[in-house]
Amino acid sequence: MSETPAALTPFRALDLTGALGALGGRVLAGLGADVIKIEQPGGDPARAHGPFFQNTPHPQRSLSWIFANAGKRGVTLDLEAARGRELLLRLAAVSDFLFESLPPGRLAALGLADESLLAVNPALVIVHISPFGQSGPYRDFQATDLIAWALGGQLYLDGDDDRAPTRPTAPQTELLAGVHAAAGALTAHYARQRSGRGQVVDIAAQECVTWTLMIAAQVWDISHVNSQRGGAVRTAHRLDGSTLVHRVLWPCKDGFVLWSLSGGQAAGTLASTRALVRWMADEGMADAPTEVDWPQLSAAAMDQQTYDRLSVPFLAFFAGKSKRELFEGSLARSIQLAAVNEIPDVAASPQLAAREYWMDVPHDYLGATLRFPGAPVRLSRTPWTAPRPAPLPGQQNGEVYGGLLGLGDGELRDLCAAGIV
Amino acid sequence: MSEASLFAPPDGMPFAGVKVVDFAWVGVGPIIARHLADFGATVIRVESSTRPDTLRLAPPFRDGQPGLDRSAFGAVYNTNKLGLALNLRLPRARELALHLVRWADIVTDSMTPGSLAKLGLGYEDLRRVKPEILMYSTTQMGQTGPYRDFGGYGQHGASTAGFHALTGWPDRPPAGIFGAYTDFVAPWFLYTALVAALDYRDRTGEGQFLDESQVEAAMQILGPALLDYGANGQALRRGGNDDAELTPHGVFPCAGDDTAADRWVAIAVRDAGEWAALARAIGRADWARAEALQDEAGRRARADEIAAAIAAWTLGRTPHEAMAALQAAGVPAGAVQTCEELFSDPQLLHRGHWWTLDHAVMGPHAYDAPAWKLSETPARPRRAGPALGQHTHAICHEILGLDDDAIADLTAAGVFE
Repeated sequence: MSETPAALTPFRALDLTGALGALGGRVLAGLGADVIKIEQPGGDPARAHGPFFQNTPHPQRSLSWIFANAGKRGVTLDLEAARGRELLLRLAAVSDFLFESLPPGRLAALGLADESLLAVNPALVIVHISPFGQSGPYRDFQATDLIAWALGGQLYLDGDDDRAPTRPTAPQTELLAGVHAAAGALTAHYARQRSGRGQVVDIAAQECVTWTLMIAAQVWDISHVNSQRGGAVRTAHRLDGSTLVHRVLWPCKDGFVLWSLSGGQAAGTLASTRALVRWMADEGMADAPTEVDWPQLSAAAMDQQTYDRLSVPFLAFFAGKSKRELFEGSLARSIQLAAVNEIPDVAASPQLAAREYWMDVPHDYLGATLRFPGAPVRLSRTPWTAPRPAPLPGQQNGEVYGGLLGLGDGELRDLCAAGIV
Repeated sequence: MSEASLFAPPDGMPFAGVKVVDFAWVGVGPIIARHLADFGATVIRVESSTRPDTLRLAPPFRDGQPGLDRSAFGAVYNTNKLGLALNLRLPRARELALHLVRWADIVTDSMTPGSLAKLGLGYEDLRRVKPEILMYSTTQMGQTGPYRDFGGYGQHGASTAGFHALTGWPDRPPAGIFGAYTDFVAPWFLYTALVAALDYRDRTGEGQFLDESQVEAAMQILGPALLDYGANGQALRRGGNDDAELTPHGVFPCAGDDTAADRWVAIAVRDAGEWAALARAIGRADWARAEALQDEAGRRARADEIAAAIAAWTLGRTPHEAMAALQAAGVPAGAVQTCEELFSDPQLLHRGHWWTLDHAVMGPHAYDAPAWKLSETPARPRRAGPALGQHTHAICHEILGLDDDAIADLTAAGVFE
């Protein structure tokens, strides 16, 4: 065994989340905490969500579940039964965190209200994750990823302006709320380390989405302008009433790159544009716009005809190069341009390879090794830990109920027979 | 308020007494330090008017008038911090910076790799003066690797990580995700790791260096798609508002209020019960019972017909009317809210999401409160984001121990520009 320490090794978390918020416990596990996933007998319903290993739907083959629950131990427990709830309280007594994302009020209705949990362990940090929060007018609203994205304010800002708004096809909110839950949990943890007292943390997916709007909300607050969505080509509405149809994503040989056509007085933008023009000229482009007075040509003030005329040589230059060629050439020349990477481009990234980002995790129950996105943060003294595979339902019942709680074999067999675990 | 009281640890807050020197700029680095300050840390934000934070130069400006202290963008990631102006290109300024490092528990950095080291303020320099220091650095690509020097913003990060290509219609070029998306994913990972490292330091006395690539961190929330590609070789692509598992699932046109344009409601159905409730709500009780539509595959086969019927119903309602009617029936539905509407959203208001803080130059304006609601030690708004160097004098007196003569001398030398 390695002697490398992990930051949260002394601490234990109980994880009762479903799809919403499961990443929170995953983050704590990556930082070294002992995280115990607690599923209902038969397994977490979130195991029904894809994508699935080899496209075969099965509770043990859900890649979304396997991703968000990697690094955790797993037990089953029936919270509908009094003996199940009693076991949960015994686990809570020897744990530091409890994450859950049942509908608000559901745990309390089962007799597991915050006060009951804190009564058995006053130092416990309880983290509730829900679409809208544990109280308030939308508390009981029904939501999916799309609904939280809409009410949080992101959806209105995403997509082409001549069609309906569109969300990212990879659902964001359940995972995003999870990492917010981890951050809130650690804040309460730090308070507990000093006071000895636990508390309750309330995370709402909607509010996590509102934190992704960059400065758009403040643009309303300060300037009373509602930001608008736009696609690869979009319309800028200027304060003087004029408009400019401009390109944000530019086609290239094998896809798109992100770049803005602009000169102007801002030093970074001007140097970037001049460097790109120089690159075009160096490659012998006859119509590289070398004679243009770029400091006078800010996109904020350019007229449409000028913009369209200036676009032509850039479109031609990009069309002859791949997105990686354009990005790497831009990197070497300090040009502000990025590749619009598709998933296969991300998987083939030389940067991620050089940093040994990917974590390959053998999964015996699949007979396969799965490739995980690696450490979100590299800690020099207490590195992010490679995960154990996500558990099968009840995989660690013996070591948790026996080893941790000290139940005897007979007692455990009895609980199994009663369907409690 | 006396100068000394600016530095009094706020009793009972999680990070009361934790000291941070914030050399970071733009988004991610300052956002993390801001959350430490919101929960009680004493955070000194170090800036220079000779090379101002890009966000101080970006709109929205109060009254539309640009100025280093007139941009909400330059303020909102810096609540509860104290502002120190320091021109780190001058050796005497760097001496003061090292003095602050001795005072601090945490030092932040978000410049391209090596920038602070060139000033003698890299992690190796810092640990020589304070071995137990915690330092984090957050950049687009991380501290190592062939792309480490890429100096882009969150929109470049979102594009690099894959978010841009995954947003838009399948028959169109990608639309891209709004704004600097990875700037609002990456902070929460690094913040969590940092607090864990701070706790570890308290227990062991050992500091460390934290290196975050914002692209790598944000890729965590593409995890399922990345596993799918690795295991199955299939690459998720943008699909409008289609969902792999839910039908109906989409964004439907609504009636506007006065402007009658571009208003939408999002609707999703997860099971037969929600389907029946939706069908009844839109006046298609026959569909609620139709056997062929009880499972998702059956509804998917008739998705266009169903979407048209939903749209015919939503077009007669505002987004909030449609949401209220469907939520009352138990159907997941949400108004596609504009930024304006977020300021009257009853749920965000209930959670106290908007802090109105009185900025030294801009006056009162809106800040997002931390999304984590702690029952016993909540975040507290104590101060707006500082004007550039707003607390320089107080910091010189109370933290650096300089008297007025010394401060005047350093001021004349341009140290506080």
